[in-house]
Amino acid sequence: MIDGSFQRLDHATTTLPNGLAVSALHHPRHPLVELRLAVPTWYADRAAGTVAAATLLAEDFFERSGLEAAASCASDVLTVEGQALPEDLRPALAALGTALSAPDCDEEAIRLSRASLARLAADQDGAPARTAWNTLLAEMYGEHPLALLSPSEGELLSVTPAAVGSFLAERLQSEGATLVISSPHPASHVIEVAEKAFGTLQRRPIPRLPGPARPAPAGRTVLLGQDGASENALVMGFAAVSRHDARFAAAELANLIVGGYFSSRLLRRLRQEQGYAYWVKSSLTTDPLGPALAVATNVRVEVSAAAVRVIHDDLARLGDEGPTGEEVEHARTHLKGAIRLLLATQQGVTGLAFALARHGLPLSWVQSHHARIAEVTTEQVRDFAAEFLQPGRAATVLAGDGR
Amino acid sequence: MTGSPTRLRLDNGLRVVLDEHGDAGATGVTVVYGGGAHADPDGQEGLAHLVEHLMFQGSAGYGAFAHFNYVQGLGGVVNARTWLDHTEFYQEVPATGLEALLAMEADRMAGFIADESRFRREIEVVKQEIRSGLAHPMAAFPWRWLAPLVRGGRSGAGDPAGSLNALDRLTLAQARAFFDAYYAPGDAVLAVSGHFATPKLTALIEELFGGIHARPSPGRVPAAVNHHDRTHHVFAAPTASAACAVAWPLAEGPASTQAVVYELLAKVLDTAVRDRARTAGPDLIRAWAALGVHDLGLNCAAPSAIAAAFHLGDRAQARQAVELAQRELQALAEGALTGSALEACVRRERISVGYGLDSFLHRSRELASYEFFLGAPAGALRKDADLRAVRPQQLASAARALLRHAPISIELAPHRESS
Repeated sequence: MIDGSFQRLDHATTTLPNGLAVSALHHPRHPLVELRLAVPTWYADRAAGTVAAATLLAEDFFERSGLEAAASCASDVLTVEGQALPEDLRPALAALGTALSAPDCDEEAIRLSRASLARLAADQDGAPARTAWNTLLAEMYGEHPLALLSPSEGELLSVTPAAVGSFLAERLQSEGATLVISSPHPASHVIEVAEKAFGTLQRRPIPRLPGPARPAPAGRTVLLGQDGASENALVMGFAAVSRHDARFAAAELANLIVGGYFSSRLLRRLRQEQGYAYWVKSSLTTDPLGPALAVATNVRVEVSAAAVRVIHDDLARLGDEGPTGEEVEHARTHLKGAIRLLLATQQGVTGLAFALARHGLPLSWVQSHHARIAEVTTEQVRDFAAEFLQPGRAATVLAGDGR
Repeated sequence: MTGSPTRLRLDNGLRVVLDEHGDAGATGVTVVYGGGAHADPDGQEGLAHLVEHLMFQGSAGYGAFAHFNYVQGLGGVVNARTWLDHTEFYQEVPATGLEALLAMEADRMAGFIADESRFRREIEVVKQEIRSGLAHPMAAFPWRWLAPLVRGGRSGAGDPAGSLNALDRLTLAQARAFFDAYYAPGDAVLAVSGHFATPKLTALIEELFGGIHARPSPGRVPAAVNHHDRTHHVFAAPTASAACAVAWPLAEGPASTQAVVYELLAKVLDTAVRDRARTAGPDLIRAWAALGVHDLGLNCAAPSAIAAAFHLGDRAQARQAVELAQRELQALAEGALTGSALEACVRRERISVGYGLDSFLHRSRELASYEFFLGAPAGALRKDADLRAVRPQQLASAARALLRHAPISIELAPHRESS
């Protein structure tokens, strides 16, 4: 992919009569057909959605279609990701269109998927990292659907075939859905094939959505599983801003400076200066109902309290003093370069186009976002940290590996 | 993206592979050195890993952390990894950063740098990495346990628990000696894939790396197939549930022409055990099969192995799971694979190859290891054609070759069960 050519890429977009938005991207060097599909599920029953997603593509789907695909369900969206050889474009799209328009999930298939998912969940349910994240989300979001990281063994086992059937009938639909396909085929040809394959997908009315999640966590620290533990999964969450907020570019830079990459403050403190942790990572989640910034690491039990103090102190200092100009510049060039690297691969191009399409943003958003990132000042990063990343507003969870 | 890579050898012995894509915008750079965990001297377990950490931090001309701060400042990715028989440094940057990046790689190859306080602090970081790995054993299952059994050689090489005990006793002088021996240009490979012009880059590489003094290298640590210890091994581990695996070592090293046959055989076996496991019963959490010691595929020195692994809800099912995998391999050896089943697996594998080679970082890593281990980097880019040429009888014959020796089987028992 030629550097900077994203918006000049041969691409075509259309919205089918059923509401499905389709984008096709073409580059002769793309080795595969890459496909990403998002169907908004409007915060439907997550456990039923998880089983439905696992059952949607039948066992012999690949043999019939040539599309190596996987479906998954998050709080507000069912996603399908897939790859096929270029010569399999037509059967791949046709088979996926049929699987979505007329899902063929018999009870036996649902029972097998449910059992398999429940086995995996049972194995993970007690793991410290999973416990820590689940507890953090509950602390931050209370009863809101965003509080569910992924369904537990019990929640999955209680899903009935009828619940899966209702999920598929009511939520697997085309209104607000987004399909992005990149390939070595001309974009207009791909659009034609997609129109045929997905035209029969049904449109359904949008149900009533939950309101925004509780805006800010309460500053509590929760300790779990400390008896006999040698190591803690440590997670900390803060309310943040969504992609549509004017402060989003500052939030992105703040996230990098805090722990979003290897040159971050927390990695330097916890790994290089103190030797407390091998890794630490901060990340932004941008669900408009509850955007958040989370910090996660694994630390030895005996240095856990010290590690929490280091993180709290560092965040407080960022809010008081702000970052250095050098830190902001480094994070800024990192973000710009990271996008350039994404554009050098088909996977990156597809992923970025999909993320933009899901938010209803054009490919040219990348350039305007570069301009917004270029304008962020050290004061704006400081102000974001002062408003959102103060220890008193953090929810903190330490989950030990003891039993 | 299937052009032939350019190969060079500098006077100091450094092998170079260049894979030019003039307008790509990005460049992947990988350097492979000949020392891995198998090269740890007795009593100094973990030394190769520690030296990798120290050298990852920076080099004499640039100071601590300068290298990865530079890559990160460009939006790039950078990492390093110590394997059993080699150590790998790899990164991807926008094309504009290539020249400075290569200067830093050359500086890393040229000389060891670490002071005592950095050395001691890095030991703590490595220990924390090892503890995290030990606390999450399934992430390294089954190869962490299978590798020492599949391969002959010293027991304990690459054993994380063993190196945890030995790390505190290591000295800065030992680390320097390891660097001098195993980071020599004569046993190293530099691979660059992506946006550059070959003639200009060749001149730059000669300028940057050509001046690094050749020094003697101890050569590869020989590894042989272990044909003597084919019993069932049980290990205690802090897992919530049990796991088992069965491995068939490749009788001979995977020559490049046979590579795709074994890769496909692993894929076919993977499909078969996943299908069977799905309906096998409520206590089988997950099943898969794969080729290669430490998940390295063929990117490791001979010998390797094909293993089927099972994550079990009930430990009592280990024997059944192993038998299930054996039956599937036996059926493949007897020619049970149909043309259409093979064709589906070939398509799957071609997708996976296309997916990987789309990334310049991945391409540079593949090219470096194909050059390092096989002396034939073009094989990394020729896989699509090689896969299409495989016939069912080749897979049956490869399966029969694996079955000539008894397999090795292992089991992870959750040690919380006994408490």
